[in-house]
Amino acid sequence: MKLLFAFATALLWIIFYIPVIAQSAKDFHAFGWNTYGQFSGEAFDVFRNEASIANTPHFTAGIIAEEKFILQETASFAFTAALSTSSGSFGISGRSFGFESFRQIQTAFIYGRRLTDWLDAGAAFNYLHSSVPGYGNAHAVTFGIGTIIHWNRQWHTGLQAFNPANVKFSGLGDDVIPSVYRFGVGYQPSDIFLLSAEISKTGEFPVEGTAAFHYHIVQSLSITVGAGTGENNLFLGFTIYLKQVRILAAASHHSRLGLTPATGFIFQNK
Amino acid sequence: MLKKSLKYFSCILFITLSFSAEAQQQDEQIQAALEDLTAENEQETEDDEFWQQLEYYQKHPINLNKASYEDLTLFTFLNPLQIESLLQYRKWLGNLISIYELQAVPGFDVGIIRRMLPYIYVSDDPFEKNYRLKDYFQGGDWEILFRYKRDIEKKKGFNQKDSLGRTHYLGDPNGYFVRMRYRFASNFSMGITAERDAGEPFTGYGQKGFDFYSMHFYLKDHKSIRALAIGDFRINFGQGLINKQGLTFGKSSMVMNIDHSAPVVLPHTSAMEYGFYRGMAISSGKKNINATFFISDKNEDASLKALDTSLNFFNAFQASGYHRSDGELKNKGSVNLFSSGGSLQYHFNKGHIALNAVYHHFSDSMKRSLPLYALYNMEGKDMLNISMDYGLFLRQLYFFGETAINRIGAIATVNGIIMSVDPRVDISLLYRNYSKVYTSLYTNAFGESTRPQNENGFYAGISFRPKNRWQVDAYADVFRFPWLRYRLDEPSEGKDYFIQTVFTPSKKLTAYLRFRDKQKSLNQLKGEPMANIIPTHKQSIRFQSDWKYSPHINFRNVAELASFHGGNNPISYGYFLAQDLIWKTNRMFSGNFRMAWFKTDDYDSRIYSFENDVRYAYSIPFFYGKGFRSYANLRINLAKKLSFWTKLSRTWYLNQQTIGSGWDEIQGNKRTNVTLEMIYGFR
Repeated sequence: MKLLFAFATALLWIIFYIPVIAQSAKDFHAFGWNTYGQFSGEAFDVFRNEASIANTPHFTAGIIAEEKFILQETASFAFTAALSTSSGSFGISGRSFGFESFRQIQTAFIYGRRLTDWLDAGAAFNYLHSSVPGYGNAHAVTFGIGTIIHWNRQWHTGLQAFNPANVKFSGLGDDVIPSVYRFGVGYQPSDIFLLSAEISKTGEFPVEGTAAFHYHIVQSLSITVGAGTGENNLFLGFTIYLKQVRILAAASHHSRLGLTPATGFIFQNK
Repeated sequence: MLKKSLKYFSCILFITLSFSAEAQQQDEQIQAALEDLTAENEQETEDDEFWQQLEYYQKHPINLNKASYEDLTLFTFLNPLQIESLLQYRKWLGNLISIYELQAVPGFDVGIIRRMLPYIYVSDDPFEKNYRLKDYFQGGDWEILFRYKRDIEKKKGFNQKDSLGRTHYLGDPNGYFVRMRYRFASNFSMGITAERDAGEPFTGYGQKGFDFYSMHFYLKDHKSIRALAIGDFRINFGQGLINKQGLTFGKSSMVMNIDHSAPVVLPHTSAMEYGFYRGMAISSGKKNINATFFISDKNEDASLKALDTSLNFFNAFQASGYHRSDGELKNKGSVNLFSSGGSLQYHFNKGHIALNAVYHHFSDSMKRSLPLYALYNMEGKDMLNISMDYGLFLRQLYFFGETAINRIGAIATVNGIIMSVDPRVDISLLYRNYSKVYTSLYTNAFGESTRPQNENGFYAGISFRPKNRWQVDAYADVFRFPWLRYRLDEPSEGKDYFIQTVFTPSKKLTAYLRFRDKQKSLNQLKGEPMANIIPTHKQSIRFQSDWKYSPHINFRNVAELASFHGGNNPISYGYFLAQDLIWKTNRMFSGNFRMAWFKTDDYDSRIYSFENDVRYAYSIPFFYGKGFRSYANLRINLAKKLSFWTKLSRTWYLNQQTIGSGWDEIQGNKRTNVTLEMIYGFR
């Protein structure tokens, strides 16, 4: 009950107060790769596939921040929380990108559940807000859907579509919200290792391929390493496990613009 | 012409089908790695030490209960973690009882064991001899090798005469290679090598007999001497940032093979005329400390230019080893190179740490050439490089690396991890950062280019076996060149992706599919004074299958498609199809035959393909244009100690009337090579 109350409060707080957002497929590279595996779902898996919320433990919440290319003006923040119930898993998320002269915010309500032993499905309803002081604001409501198939304990595939209806912002020149399609495969031969590969198509950008692995070096430390075909092509992340809390630190490298550091933490109540 | 060609083809087929064959079945992965190496360097290597070692161990397998870490590094399909795992297993559980016990060693699976089998045995005989020095001179094997090579169609350099009535190439088109070598296991070796390339004169023009002679005396693991080399030898320090000589595989389908460490002192036994030392090297140690020292004095080829009447300089050493014309002979051994160096290694339970230094002094000054890309190349008469390297085993992780500094303080560093994250999955990661000002000689470190200069990048490789009969190897490498390069007039970056799937449904069939995608920038010259920089994209996909039809007959099929796309130019394509027949009738005969077809739109879409050759040799020709390629290998064991090898190959070009360029140009559309080899081995 306490948890439910905390969850509801957080939901209201997110929707009404937090400047959240930016559905960008190019954020937080090193996170969310558990989507294609059997590891207990982590809070940020929902950014990669909405269906991963179905794999969530009893309650999880996390916050994360990154500063693209070490520029204050390109900082991103994100928050997620998810609660698993007998009727499925419910979650919220929020993301914010930009600075006082340009900010994009996204909030989402996510629902997902395990439909069969081998199939998870999820959907998110997203509210997007873009503001440029002195010029005005733009809004949009769109959705994303995802499915994950667990072929067996080792092999998993996922499919995600964000904004498949090609909804545009209203106001501020009717900016396009890029549609994102992702297909990923995960191979998890053991409890300590997961190998994932993903291809994604974002708006008019060329198709990108990314591969990453997640490895528990010891029980309290894991490493995530990945490489992609896009410009932002390398990333490295560490997770430290302290009972119910996980501390995250990561960096990605853009071949021309340099490093993007990121950090965050996740709370998980199993 | 067609008639003649058919005759030739029938002749090859007859030889092959009549007499026989077993292929000189080299490891597929090594073949692919050599193709990549040749494509990258755009030249083949004459270094056959690696093959000599493998062939020797096939004849005299290693006792796994006695094998050292160094011995096992020869097997390129074993990564450092697997070697360490075997040594730890032996340490904790005692000697192996049989080869089957290898399956119990963590990190070893049936595939790995099968590949090791030709080279190993297991013996736990407590009375197995511990050899003394005099045994080295009595119980070993002698081998005398004679090889003859010739291109049948004469090149322009052999035909065109100057005003003095001399041809450009001063010698005849015959090439000879002779080697006499005695060796006792990996502990002792001595020998003489002599070589004369086609076109090099035997006498006159300052030549006396063969163009290249090499001698070596090598002793290993005797009392406190870890290695002693007198004559020609090679030195390998760390990861190759200050000194690495000999064959080194770069990025290849052996995705775990990123640790470039090798035995510190090795004999030089091949016909390679560049990339070794001449003098003495000794490596000695007690317990955990090992010290190495070497001194060398030899002459290297270089084109000397006069700065003024008293001062000569040169731009770079010439590594080809050709001395066929007046110009090439003039450059022969024109610069004296004195080299000395050493290493101090400390070994601890889980690894090692070492401090290394190499010093070179040239008799004349090296000056950089004029193009801007060479701005940071080596200059002066002296060169000093110092480095520190390490290796550390930590659970299922192996950390390794080297950091080096040169005389002017420029730094090069390479660091990597090899991880065995699961019995079915291995991962390798490597980061390198080589300053544009870091200069070195005789180096070969991991990277896009073999010389560790002007490059930084990150490499990630994975090898996993999702099912028993499947293996997937893949790597991704992203790199950057902070300064200009040859044929590239601006700082640039690139990407290299590779994936290979090997399917072995039965003992009789193996098939693999490999895909490679490489993106780089390149100058495009279109008559303007400034080159236009264009992104280039080369992709290739290859399918290969090996089918053991019967104990006597193997079939191999190769199909490759390559494409090259540069800037706004149209995409060019290359195709290659080959059918190999490998036949073995009895112990007396063996051989193989290939018929291949190729077609490429241009030079950029050319395709490299490994070819079997006579013993200890291989060739990796590249194909562009349109035509056919065929070759036949034959081995006859004339007596127990005497074997005869031959290779006959021909390429037919369908759309050109000349082959090659410059003095190597051949009039006509055919190119034929013949190689004969005789090996006499005795005790």
